[in-house]
Amino acid sequence: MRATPSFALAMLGAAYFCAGCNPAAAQRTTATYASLKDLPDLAGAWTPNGRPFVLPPPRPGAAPTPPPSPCELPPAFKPDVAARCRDALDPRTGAAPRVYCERQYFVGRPPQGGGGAFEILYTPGRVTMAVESGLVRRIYVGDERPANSLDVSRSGTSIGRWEGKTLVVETSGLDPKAPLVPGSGLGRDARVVERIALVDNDTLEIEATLTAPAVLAAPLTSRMQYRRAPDRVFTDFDTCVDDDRSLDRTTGLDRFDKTPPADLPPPPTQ
Amino acid sequence: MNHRRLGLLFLALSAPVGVALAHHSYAMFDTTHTGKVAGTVAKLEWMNPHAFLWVYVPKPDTAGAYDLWGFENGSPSVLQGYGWSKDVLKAGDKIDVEYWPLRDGTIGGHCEKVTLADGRTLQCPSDLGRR
Repeated sequence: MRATPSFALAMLGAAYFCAGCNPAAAQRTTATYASLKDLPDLAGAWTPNGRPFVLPPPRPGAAPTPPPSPCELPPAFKPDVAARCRDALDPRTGAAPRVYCERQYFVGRPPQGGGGAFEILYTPGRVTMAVESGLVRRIYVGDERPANSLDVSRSGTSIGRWEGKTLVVETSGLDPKAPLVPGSGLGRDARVVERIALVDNDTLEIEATLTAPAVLAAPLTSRMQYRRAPDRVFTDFDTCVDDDRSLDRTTGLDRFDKTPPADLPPPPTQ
Repeated sequence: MNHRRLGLLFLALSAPVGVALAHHSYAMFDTTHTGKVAGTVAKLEWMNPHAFLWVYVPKPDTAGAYDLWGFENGSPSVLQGYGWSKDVLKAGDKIDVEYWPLRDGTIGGHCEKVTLADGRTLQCPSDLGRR
């Protein structure tokens, strides 16, 4: 059979597209499970250090101190971001609008707070960070962007490399709509560089530097430390449940639902 | 306020991966006062987004009668860092509960601290209720 020009073009096209048919071929890794034991021991469960929610003692009769404005932004932000932030606040409370069922996005800050515990898992050619609040970040260790990675996604595309005992992760492809501060998303072409390393055997530090030209005039660096938590039981932290006793999902209004659980034992007998 | 402090404030207030900003207001609680009741654990609901503690509290004016009090608590994910677990309190345990009362004057509130009969205490975290 003689190859016609159109047939040759079709074959060329098929070959081109098949570069993406087999991601394994496009991003082979030489790492093996056996080799993982030589990596710095970042693997395992980690929880944010400290107790961010310990509250000061009560001050009888005193009015609560209003929380700081969420629009009090570091100087790295462009001025118009603070203005948009103020416009986005709830005019009744001056607080950030509450979002009941918020999707999780990576916006270049280390995990923190409730749902901020995470697990680092090693597999050949990949480090996975599974955050308790639901986001799973797959960090490909190598030089190339993985085949078929999305243009933009909630966790972006993360490429990692080891610099000594530090895992350096560069992330791009972040969703421009990912909420950064009230009124502003990340915008286009945001990138994050993280440096993840042990401070000591039981302390992990993540330093994350966000570059987001749409909203930042200069890079913004965040730093958090975590303590190793080998006995941690992950709980699928979730604020988006149907039977929330504190918030009526149908109206979005606060409540204090005193409907007793169906399986309560009887009161004590005297 | 220096830049470092601003950066930390931003980190604390912003909504990154995994953060648990208050998903509801604490306006329903009087966070300037602490009430205290003694009772018997009915159930610890170990659930998202908040654990709830149910306690039988003797009615002050009726011998042998009880009210069922409910206390909102932190999320199980946060509570673990405070020594709480699904079975740290069992039905029948005698406890004292310190709490922020409900502003509407009805029974119940937001847990501040639980003291068990053996003297152990369990701190109840909160997001933004009091600063």
